[in-house]
Amino acid sequence: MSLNVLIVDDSAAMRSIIQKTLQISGLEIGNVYQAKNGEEALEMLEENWVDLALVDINMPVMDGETLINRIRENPDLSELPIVVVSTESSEARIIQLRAKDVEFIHKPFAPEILREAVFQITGVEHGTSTLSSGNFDF
Amino acid sequence: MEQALYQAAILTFEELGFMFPVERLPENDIETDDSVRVSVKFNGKFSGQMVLQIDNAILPILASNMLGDDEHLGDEILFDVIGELANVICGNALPAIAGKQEIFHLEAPQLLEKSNLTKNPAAIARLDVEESKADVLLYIN
Repeated sequence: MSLNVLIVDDSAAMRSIIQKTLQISGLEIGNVYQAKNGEEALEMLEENWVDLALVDINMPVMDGETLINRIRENPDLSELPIVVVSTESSEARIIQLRAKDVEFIHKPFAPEILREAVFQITGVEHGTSTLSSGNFDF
Repeated sequence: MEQALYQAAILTFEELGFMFPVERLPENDIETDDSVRVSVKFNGKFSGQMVLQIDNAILPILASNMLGDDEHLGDEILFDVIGELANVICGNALPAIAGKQEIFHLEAPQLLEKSNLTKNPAAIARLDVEESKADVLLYIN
């Protein structure tokens, strides 16, 4: 089964890089949605089924941390797997973010780092597109 | 401070741009107007701005490396590419300078006219990227 992915980043270039990295990752990717801030992302999550969100933190209008909080507060979305993709380097901030049950990867990232983080949080096994039980509610 | 700038810039060019810059000696500087600049303002333990200045000639190649040849490389996407490079360099350099526990807030990258580029940065990283130049200048208020 393929994964529908939402990429949230105010940089169109970074959204494109993440999308291309996912497409060569070995994962079966379904629809890819893009949003340039948290507000747009929430609208897309209301309208579309998404299995995985990749979220930047520092964005205008609504930042990534607010978006994650809103997702976690929403009973329909609260278990959505989220990978934070950010330049944030402060250890204190990274610990705060990880406490929201997200994977964290740091920009710049090698493609295999992004792939590993997605494998880790989705429970998808290496080299397959089979989802492990209990992580998703399809 | 300068070493942190070099490390952040080289890592970012390598991993985001698939290019392999080397340090350039100041005496090899050639003044040219054919470059583009973006500024990322920041505040935290200290505040200021980081400027990435890059030769126009290398920008489409860099963008193509980052985005793939199939992307339409208009001005907007080229600005986005250099802005993201600046953002990532800044985000990596500041904690390396101030300490990993420090939290900085970075503003969105802005294009900067050369006339608005002030002299005497606190630190500068001069890079040769293939046959072009890229400079990273750090200003602290």
